[in-house]
Amino acid sequence: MKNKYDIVIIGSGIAAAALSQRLLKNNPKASILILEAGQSVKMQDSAIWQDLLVSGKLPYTKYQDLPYPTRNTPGQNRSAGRDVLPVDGSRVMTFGGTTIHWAGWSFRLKPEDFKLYTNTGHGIDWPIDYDDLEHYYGEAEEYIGVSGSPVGQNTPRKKGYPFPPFPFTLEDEPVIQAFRKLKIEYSNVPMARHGSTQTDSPHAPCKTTGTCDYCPFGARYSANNFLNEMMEWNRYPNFEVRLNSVVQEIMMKSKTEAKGVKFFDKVENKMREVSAKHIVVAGGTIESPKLLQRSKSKFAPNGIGNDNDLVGRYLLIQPWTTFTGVVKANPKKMQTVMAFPTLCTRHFDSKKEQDKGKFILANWPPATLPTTLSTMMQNGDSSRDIKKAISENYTVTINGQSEIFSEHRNRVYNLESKVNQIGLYETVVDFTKPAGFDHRLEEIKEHVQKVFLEMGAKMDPHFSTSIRADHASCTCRMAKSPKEGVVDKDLKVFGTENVYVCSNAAFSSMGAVNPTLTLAALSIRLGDHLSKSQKG
Amino acid sequence: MVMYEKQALHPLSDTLVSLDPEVYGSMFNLFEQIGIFWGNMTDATPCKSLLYTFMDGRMRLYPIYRVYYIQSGKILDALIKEMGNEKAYRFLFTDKKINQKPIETPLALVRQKVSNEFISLQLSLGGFKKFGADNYLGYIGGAYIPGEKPPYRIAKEQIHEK
Amino acid sequence: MSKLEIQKKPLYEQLQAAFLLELSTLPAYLSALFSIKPGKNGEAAEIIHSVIMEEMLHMTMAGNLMSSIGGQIELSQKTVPAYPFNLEFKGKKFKDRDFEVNLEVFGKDAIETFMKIEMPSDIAEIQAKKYTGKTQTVVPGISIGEFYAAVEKNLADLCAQYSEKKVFSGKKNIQVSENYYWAGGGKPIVITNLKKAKQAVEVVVAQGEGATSKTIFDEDHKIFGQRPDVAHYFKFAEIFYARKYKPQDHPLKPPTGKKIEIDYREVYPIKKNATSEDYKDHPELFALNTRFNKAYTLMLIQIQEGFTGHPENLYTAIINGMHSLSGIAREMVIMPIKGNSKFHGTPTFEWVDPDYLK
Repeated sequence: MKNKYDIVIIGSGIAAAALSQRLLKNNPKASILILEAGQSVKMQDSAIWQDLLVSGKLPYTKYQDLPYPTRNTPGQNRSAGRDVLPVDGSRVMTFGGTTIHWAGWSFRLKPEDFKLYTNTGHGIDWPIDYDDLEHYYGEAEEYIGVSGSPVGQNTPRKKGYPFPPFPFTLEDEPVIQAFRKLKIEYSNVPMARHGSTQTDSPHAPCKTTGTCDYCPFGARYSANNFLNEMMEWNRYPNFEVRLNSVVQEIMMKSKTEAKGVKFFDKVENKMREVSAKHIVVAGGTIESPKLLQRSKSKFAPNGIGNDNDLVGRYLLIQPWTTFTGVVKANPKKMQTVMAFPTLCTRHFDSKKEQDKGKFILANWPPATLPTTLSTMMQNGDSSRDIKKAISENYTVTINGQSEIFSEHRNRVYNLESKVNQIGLYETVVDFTKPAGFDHRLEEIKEHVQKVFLEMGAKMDPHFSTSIRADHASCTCRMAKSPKEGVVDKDLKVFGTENVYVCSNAAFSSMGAVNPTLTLAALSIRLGDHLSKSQKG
Repeated sequence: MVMYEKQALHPLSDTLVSLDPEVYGSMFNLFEQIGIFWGNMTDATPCKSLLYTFMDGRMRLYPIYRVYYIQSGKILDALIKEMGNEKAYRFLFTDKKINQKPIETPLALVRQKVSNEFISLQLSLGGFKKFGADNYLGYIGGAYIPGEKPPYRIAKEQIHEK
Repeated sequence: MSKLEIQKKPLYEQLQAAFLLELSTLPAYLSALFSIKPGKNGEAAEIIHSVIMEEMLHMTMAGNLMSSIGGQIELSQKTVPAYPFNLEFKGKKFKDRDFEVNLEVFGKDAIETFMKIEMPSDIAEIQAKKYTGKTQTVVPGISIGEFYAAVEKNLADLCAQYSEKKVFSGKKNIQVSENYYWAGGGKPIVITNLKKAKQAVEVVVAQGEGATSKTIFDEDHKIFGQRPDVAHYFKFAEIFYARKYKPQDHPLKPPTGKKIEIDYREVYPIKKNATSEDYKDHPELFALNTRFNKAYTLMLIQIQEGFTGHPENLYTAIINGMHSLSGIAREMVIMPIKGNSKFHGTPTFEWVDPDYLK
């Protein structure tokens, strides 16, 4: 490791991968160091894959947070608000970050999402708009290798998707028919995996194995595979990745200029320092603000960019609701076959619904292992009983992913008395549901009920809503001024010359869709921005 | 640098003596019987090397499976001697008690650690087809190649871009 | 046996040889690749890697050709190449393969051998002329280009006598399609008639050995719609001359494009044509090598199964075999051999019966 780099990136997830890919495309000799607190996971290993198949075990669960402590179990992190927002299972602290286990949904935000405040009075507007990001959405889709169709997405675009969408499954059929009857426009789910076409790709096409949590081919985008591929032939002589490196703080040399970072090297068991011209914090929504907060100095007594006590605030998530209904009689023997959903609707992801909180619906049969077939056979059920069970009824599972609005009081910060298994401080999550949260879910349920009714399915009235931190965002939000946010339209921390936050943390709001594609777009855009400023 | 990952391996795996071919053979017999009992795989021979690869993988991660496979062969032999082939496998596959946790008897071990895992594997190697679908979680169905038959059953209505 | 079957026999032999021809290059190229220290000679490594990918495609094409006419590839202990490897066909040496192929470190020797392996037949003639001043005397042997031309001619002759359907009597669904090969370099062709067979041969010839002195490009961009890429011989020449070719460069002259950084010292000094005997005093290397060879052998067995009726077994060959090999190799090449520490370990690519066959 050298002493000085042009750019130090903290974190090794999709933000770091997409950003460094773009920086190196612009200048293959760029001097970049990625510091990752965690370790790496062996990917595409056949024995690990078959372990998943027969036991449901995954090799990276040890890099996830534990649940909050209870009276009987030690646990990790603290829940401080009125409502419990679980973190466990929502992120993976490892080389490659959370894309090691994400589902791959790759939606663009819609133009109205960038004008949330103007349209509804909620939250703030983004300091950029959809047109500023459109080109980078296209770049991100190519980078990730997204398959999809513009029909039903209603997000303006100059180029088509790099890969065609996966066809709707047989299991989508009853839901599609219901959507059609209700005149609900539906769409293919844009996916971070693709089929086999003439388009060249260094990454394998999806073989529809249905074990996306650990793909034996590496078909679903995972940042570690992409980073490994970048390092493989030493195309980039000044590009380095260090694992087991827990960044403790960003060091400032003046009020506005950072000089480098201090990190704990877990292998050498000592603190080290490295200088950098630019520092990009890409540690995810939870770790990014925590790093800024604990980077205290005489120049920044409250932490970097935190003079207005906004770092860590406006924590935002997307409620995830599961609605199920049973269709009696399944003569076509529909079963869960794919691990990712193919059918969705953005009909309610519209300007009309924006004031109450938009939502998308996806038909997603649960793809858990073991399967019904294996469970029944392992139970000793006869072939006849199994065939009967499959043909008797079929459970349709429709998931709703909805929008709520950021509130100042919702935040994360360091729990400095405890360090987790990765070496990072644990987290205090202070979250309270905004007013109207439950009421909105009831409204969504009414819409979904109509769909089930059209299908002739009996909907279970007790739906379950999860508010896990999977899509957490906004904790270092982009804004027009430091009074409202932490970073500017170029992701630069207000008041600094060379510290950036490249993460979902930088979102101003999130709409109803998964944040990852937007994050990749922002990362590639930052790459071009930094490359330009390096030249000048 | 993290370019090349070591193969996932238990620290003891390399030091252990390899399994005898007879043990592999007896495990294949068990695998074959699954297809016969449930009528979902008439010829299991094409899956032989795949079963053995699976077993090697289990042992690579968890060396104790070596013991499971050796002992299971012996336990099954004894059971077949006692009951005859058909009754023995019927008992193995359907008895409710030996499928309960925790594993407390040798037969429960054979059922849960070996037979049940082979069932998961068998289904994912094609055994699922008899139950009506074209694809299955764990089955390598193949890529979606536009213009060719998709690797899973599809809905009648599809979106066609203009 | 029908008359057609009797007439197909020479083709079966030719295609088995073609398959082994491609297969035999892989351990040699892989050994050189593994010996390159990570972070060094990156461009050279990438070049060798791209050739390996295309050789696997050629192997697939040869395998499909065999399957298409109802034949079966044989991969067993007796047919699989052992090193140093000297390729022969029906007792005759290949004219342009009258040399040993070794498993050895990345270096000038290895690259020169690779160039000889891939040398287009007319370039070989021209080189021979240059040095001897006369046309190469007829060596009892056969050139690769001629070899594939003979395959094509034999197929065409048979189709003239019998219907195409009778000639291409193999089951279509046992051939290796793009579903089972996506490593790059192009897509495999499922062969059902003479036209497709000719296409398959064209790919192999254009990308690999059969390229001509007329052009440095491999022409497969016309088939696959990729960017034009140089044929294998010229790829290795780029390493040899430490320069890239420019599109307008003359095939008989060295390249004039951008310099490539080559440092033959930045390698692990792996032992040439190592065998498992070499590791008898080094238990760790011995264990790694055994693991490698078992995985390699199992992969070959499953490739054989893949080409003889069960293409789905190729998935296992890839996930279990291919995915694990480079990890094991990388662990080996960093270790000096106990008892012979001038050299480092390297996989020996020996056939080791899987435990279940012992």
